[in-house]
Amino acid sequence: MKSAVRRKIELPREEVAPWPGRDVLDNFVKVVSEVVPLLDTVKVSLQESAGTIPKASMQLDNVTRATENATVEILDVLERMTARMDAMGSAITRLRESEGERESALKHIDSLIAEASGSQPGLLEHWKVFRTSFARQGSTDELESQFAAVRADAMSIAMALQVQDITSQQIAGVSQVIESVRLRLDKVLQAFGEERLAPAAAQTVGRSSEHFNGDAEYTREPNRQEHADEIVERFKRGDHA
Amino acid sequence: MANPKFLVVDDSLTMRRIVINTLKSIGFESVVEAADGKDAMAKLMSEGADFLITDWNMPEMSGLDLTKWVRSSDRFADMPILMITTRGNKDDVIEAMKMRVNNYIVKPFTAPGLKEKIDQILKSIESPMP
Repeated sequence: MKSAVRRKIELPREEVAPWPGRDVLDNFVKVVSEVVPLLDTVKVSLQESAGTIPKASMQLDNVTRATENATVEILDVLERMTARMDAMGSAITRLRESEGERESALKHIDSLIAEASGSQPGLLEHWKVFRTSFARQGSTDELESQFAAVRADAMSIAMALQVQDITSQQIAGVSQVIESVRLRLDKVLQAFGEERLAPAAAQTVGRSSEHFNGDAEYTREPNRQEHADEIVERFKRGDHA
Repeated sequence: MANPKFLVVDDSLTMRRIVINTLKSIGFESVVEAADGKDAMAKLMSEGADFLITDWNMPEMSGLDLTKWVRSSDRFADMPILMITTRGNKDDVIEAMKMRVNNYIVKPFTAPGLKEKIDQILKSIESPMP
């Protein structure tokens, strides 16, 4: 009996009759043994990637806050500039009003000096120099024109700052995409038996898509407004198509 | 309507400042502001207004829902409403018009564009179409 058992154990492998499917099973075991370490690598990679997501969302949030703060500061400066230009504009108006009075007084003095220059030879020359200096100063027209141009430029800067609102909505859209990726990674990692990922702490992450327009565009092309105007006009005419 | 009192509604502080400054630059000095639809409702009830300028996408209550509330209220149903929004698709414009906004501006807006729309609305109120 013992010799029979010993004989069976000692039989070379090739002499054991192969059972159907053994090759398939061997291949399967081989594949699984190769895949398992790969899955571990994938899991670690997912964990590392997912770990950076909350920070990315927070950084986007910080960008929005920083640009809003900077934009408000710029608007503050522009408002002060506008107030100063308003004050200067009032001063120019007063100057313009006195210009007419000054000119008529100067003309009167012109004739008085012409009469007196006979007995005062240098008087006319000095008066001409004085008169010329007024001409060199320029009129208030030029001042008003320059102020109007500066005021228009300040307004242009203010209008361009709309970019902050528009880009903040685009960023909110990106944050939402990042959050959806985080949630999917979370599910995959839970399938690996891992703990849930830490939620993103960014304020923008929890916002509903109704609170922003992720497709907002900053473009100065007039055709967007023209397109909207056309739709409004057609609607008012009863064409709701 | 001489010297209408505007209520400017937008969740972006930047946009509210820009719209308000633009209104003042075109001669409209009387302005109050709100940060979302709910805040706007409260301001309307407490301070009143003659003209509503509102964004669309806002937390708490959207500009569209605010418009719906205004149009269904006894006190403010006929208030002129101008929507200023980043949403420029045809469907969006039609949806806002169906809610009975008076006109629609796509951001970024221009000062002349804002003035034109406000003047059109005020004129249509004073001389309503038969």
